[in-house]
Amino acid sequence: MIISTDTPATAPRLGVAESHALMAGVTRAASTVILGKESVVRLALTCLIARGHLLIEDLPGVGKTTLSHVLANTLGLSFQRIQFTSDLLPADILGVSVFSRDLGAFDFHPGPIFSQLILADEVNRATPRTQSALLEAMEERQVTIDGKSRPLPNPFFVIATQNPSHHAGTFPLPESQLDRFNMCLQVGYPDSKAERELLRGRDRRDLLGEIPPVLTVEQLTAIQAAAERVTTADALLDYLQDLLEFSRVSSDYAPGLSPRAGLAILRSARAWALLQGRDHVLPEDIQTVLPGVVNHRLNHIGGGADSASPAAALIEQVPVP
Amino acid sequence: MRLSEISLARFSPALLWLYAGNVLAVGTHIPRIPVWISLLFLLICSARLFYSNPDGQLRQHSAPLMKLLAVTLAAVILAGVWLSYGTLMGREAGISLLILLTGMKFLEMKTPRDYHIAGFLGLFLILTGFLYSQTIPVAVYMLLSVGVLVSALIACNDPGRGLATVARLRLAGMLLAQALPLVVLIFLLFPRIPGPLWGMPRDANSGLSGLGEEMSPGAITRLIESDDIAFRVKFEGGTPRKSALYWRGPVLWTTDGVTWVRSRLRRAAPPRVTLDGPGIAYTITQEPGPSSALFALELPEAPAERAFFTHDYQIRSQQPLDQRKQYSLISHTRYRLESGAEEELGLALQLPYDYHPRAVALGRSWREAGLPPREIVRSAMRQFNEEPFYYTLAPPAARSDLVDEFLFETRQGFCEHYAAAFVVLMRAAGIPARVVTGYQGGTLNPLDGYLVVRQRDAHAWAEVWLEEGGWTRVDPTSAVSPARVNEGIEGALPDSILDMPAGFAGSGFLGDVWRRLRNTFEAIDNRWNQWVLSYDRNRQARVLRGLGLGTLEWEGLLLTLGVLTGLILTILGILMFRARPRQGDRARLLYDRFCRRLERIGIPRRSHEGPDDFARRVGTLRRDLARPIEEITKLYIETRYAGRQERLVDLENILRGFRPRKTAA
Repeated sequence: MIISTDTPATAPRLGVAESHALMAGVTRAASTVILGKESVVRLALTCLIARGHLLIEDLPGVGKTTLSHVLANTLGLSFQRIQFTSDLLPADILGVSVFSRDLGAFDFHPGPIFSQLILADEVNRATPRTQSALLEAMEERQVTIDGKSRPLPNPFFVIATQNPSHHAGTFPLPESQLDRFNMCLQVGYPDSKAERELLRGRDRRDLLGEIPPVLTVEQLTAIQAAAERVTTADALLDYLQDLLEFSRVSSDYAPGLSPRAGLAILRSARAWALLQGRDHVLPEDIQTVLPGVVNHRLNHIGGGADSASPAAALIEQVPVP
Repeated sequence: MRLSEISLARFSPALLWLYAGNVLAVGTHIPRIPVWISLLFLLICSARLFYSNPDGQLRQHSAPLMKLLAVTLAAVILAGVWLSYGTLMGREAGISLLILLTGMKFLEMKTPRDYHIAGFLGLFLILTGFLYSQTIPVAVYMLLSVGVLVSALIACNDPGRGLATVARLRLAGMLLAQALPLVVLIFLLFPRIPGPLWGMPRDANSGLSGLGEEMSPGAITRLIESDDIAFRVKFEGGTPRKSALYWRGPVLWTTDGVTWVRSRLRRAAPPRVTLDGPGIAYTITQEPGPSSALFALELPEAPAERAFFTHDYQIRSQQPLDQRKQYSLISHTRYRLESGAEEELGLALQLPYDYHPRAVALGRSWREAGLPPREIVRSAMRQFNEEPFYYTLAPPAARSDLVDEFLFETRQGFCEHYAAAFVVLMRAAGIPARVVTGYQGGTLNPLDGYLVVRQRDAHAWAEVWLEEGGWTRVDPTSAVSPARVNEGIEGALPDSILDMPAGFAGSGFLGDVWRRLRNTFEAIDNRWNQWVLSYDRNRQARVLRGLGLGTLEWEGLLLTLGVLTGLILTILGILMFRARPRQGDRARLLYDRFCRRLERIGIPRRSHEGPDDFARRVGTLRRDLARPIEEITKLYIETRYAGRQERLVDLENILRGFRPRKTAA
């Protein structure tokens, strides 16, 4: 059985202005905890509005976990964190069927994946088998155990984190699986002002508990639906196609961007436009979301060490039609 | 069209492509030009490749030093070409100079414009290759080089600078394919001047092999080793049988005992001739050769265009045959050929004083025996047939008297020996006789029906004057080796001397494959000669008649050409616009106008800059323009990206009043 991810009939239909206002509230609330990282927060929200999963690649301690926690809280989602280790088994994520003496039958004990927002911490530490279990669930939004399909909650987000610098004993995600993440973001160090505030202020974990949910699940679903109604003119699709085409014919990239990547760019650009309070997508929207969406999918072989990221090079070389 | 920036850094793709293209362009010339020119060209170009710094220019030493270097190099080039050729003019010297100066241009490239020029110089160099050779392999090679150079020139309009090799080649191929209809059109319709398309005065020292105007021992033997084509024949009806294929060429009268030459009676009137029987119509395409003799089957009705009959009824072209020549003739196999000049018969009896005593004695003995001429001819032929004479390509070298030794001692010889000895015998016996050279036989190419006559089919025979039949052909070789006449030269000689790869000779399977391959290639080559290279005024007129444009003179042709060119360009243009409908986007056109106005006041939009970003940037640069720009941008975004076409009018209106000045008011 497959649960439809369409807007539930009961959800209110939201316009651009209302969606914008609601999301501004979420951003504001999140920014009280995550200091000086408004653009990262907004991109992460964009990713979720675009119904995409998020990969955060950064050093330990820059606030990856906090960020996901804040997002879960402000969006009013149930949250589970799974710490990936090399001995983690698929069943530890998905759940197991145990024989129950009371029922006289097998009883399914759902794993942590049955939550609306999952934080998969250090996803590259687990074995490929366990990684695949998670990634399959992400793609299909359902889990099949003992021949029975169990739908995952709706909405369903995965935020996975990866530590880029310590590769010893890790299993880096293959390109095909990286492609399943809608965006890959870096958090980065806070600037000095934010850092000072962080050092002065209270423990972030305490603050976390105080953040009230800003959205209901219905509102979130409605906003996702509103994002899908954002206009994309032919001129914009031309630009997107030029970008895709260039990544494919240029010798700088091998291979180029897949059609799935193209859809991801478009969805994310729509969500971003909505976050800006616009009912149409501009080339600038694509340019804003492009690094997050394509940097982990593209292999930039043209530029030397000094060159910009693949997305930046791509933007620079493709004229806006 | 604006040229985009090109990276000319060390080993940058643009540089490598142009390098490859220019080296290929010089490629056809390498065997013809002195080695030092090729080497210097490569050196200059490679220097540019290795010796440029990351920002794409030659490494800067002091400017005067570089200038000095350039001037020195130019002087060396001029001096070298002068020393090699003794001139700076003319085809060879001119092309050498062009090659080296193209190298210099490549060396000093700085801007996209230089790049363009170096590329076009390369294209011109490719074209000059056609001045020497116009065969299919050369044409294919040239096409490939053009493809590489076009691929290089694409860099001029490739803002991304990042096209992969395959994409670049595909684009170049597409550009060339788009040019194809125009090429065909211009080829067909451009008015032709009389003469071949690639006419160039041939250089004096260029040697052409082929049947000459004289016959000395070994002259024809040397030709036998050549596989080159002498001429091709297309018969209108069926092909006559092989033994009748005597292609009559230069007629030789006088000998000094060794060499036979033509008569001096140049001015004499052409002979009377009575032709009988059905005519055989055919067209000959003759390859360039050393003499101006045209070849014809015995005997033609009339000389070809721009040619004339001599007194011994050979056809001679009025121009030297340094180009391929095509002519149509009608010949009759039954004829009676009279003498053309009164002195002829006397000339045909002369023998060199004190030469060939034994042969002369033999001839005299026949006459003194009172035999009629016809019997004398027969007994001479019988002599060749019954005595142990051999037909061989490698006769023993003569020590003193050529004819006597051949007739009475070695008895081994080739057609020229037989013809010469026979004529000497006849003259001694009092029968006027002369040597005729030409070709005998030919190979029919079953693929296109052309009869191919090669140099190896060269032959010599004799003609004798008989009271009852006029000049009559007698081929003494046929008495010795009938196969030579019936089966052709391949049948009469062992395969080893024919030009075939080892193992391919003979009639085995490989020999068959070899012949078939050669037939195929020659059929294609012939099509190319007939339809592309010999596409002259006559052929053009024929094609135009076929198209119903037969009456057009060159003005009309040019006009038609112009109209059709316009038509093709329009069609291509429409196809291109349809493939990219966004070109016609009105909002975009208006926005482009807006951007051009801002560019004129020194604020160009970066090609990858979105409208909102651009507006914000201009706003910070020119606060006075911020408001109108914001408004225009907003309208543009609404019409183009939010799908509100109705705002187009507003955009047009507001843009009309937007005339930014260079400085803030």
